[in-house]
Amino acid sequence: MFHFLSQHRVLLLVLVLVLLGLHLLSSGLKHQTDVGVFGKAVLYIYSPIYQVLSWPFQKIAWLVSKYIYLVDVRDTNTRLRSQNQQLKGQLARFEELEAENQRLSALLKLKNSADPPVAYARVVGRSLTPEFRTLIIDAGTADGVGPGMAVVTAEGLVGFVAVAVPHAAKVVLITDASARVDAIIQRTRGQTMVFGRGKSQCTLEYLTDADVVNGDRIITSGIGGVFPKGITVGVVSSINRGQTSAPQGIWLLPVVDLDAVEEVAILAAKPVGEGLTR
Amino acid sequence: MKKFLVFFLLGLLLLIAQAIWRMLFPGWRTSPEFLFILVVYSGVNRNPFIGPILAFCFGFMTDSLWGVQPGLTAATYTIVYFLSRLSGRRFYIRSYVYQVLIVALMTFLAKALVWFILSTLDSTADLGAVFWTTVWRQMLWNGLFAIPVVSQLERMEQRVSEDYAERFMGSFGEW
Repeated sequence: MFHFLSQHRVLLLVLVLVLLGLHLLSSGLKHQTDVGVFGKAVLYIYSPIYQVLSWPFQKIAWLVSKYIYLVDVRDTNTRLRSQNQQLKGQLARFEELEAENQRLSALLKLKNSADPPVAYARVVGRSLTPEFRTLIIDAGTADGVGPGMAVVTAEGLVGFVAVAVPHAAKVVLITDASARVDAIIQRTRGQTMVFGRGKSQCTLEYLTDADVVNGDRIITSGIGGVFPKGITVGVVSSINRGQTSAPQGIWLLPVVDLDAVEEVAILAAKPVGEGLTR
Repeated sequence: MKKFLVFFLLGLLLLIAQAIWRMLFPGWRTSPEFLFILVVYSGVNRNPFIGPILAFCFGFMTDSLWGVQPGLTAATYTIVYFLSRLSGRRFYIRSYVYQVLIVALMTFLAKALVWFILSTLDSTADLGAVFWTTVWRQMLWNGLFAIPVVSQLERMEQRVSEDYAERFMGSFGEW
């Protein structure tokens, strides 16, 4: 027996570690994205070291991106000038509509659904493998950030906080394969569910209304209490109707450029319900 | 113990280097996985005991920092270590061609394993398309970076090794 153990000690050690990994995986499924004390400790220790060491590189990346930006700034400038003329016309119309909207909102005493952010944070890290779509931000429990909170930008929804330690937190993006967001089509008010697919786009599933067209804006429904109602998730980018009139595959392009997002706001979580599932 | 600590710290640095690379090129869907190359290197060099523990620790750290399913990368890296160890017995491990091929092959196996486990856990996850579109690029990245990373690791290992002279006499690769 001892001889057998001694001969196959590496194999046995590998087996034990693989089983331990699978156990962690299994318990992680039970407790959502909770990584336990050791996982939090890794994030706690690693995040400040990484922030210090990566700072000069971030500055270099910023300079490089600005230089690349300058290379085609002339073309962009010409294009933007013509767009600017068109937008000025639209803006005048929208200002009138906004003023009208404000008057009507006040009249109906509509409550603004967006809660003020708990904290603002900078993105300090991005997931290293394409299987997972996560970010690390530099705000944590010390700033009032906790698991389950919605992460947004001015444009729209980014994701939700999975793990938080005092000065950092891990954010799961809406494009991650495990992310689900209860949503509605803004135009028709039809219910749907946004599924992350591990790609740069998401899909719409469980539509209650087949009336959906390219360009339709999808917003959070507020159901489940994780994401406040009315945050823009994305815009319908393509619809595969197959041989029937009912849409079969609907792709959604997030309004936030999740590969380039730099600063985010964190909104307070309400009791977790069916709005976010795994 | 000395080697474990040195390689553990090296792994931490590689993890940071990997994260910095990702920060520099945020739009790129794939990037070289230095830590993965270290795990394969550790397996190919048949490093008993500290190899699987290091592989597990690196996988666990990756899971804790970036992963969504805790334990997935830890289990995958440990399996990759073992498979690399098996292949290291049969091939001439100092060949550049072998280093590139083994790292690329292990990348494919690791990604396939992750895809399989995630698909098994969540039938709606539909990661098949992501797997097939990214795995080739990931194999290329890891394969290309295998040569410089492995040569640096070999150099470092030689410095750390206590039986420096003996290793040059022919038992290269054995810790």
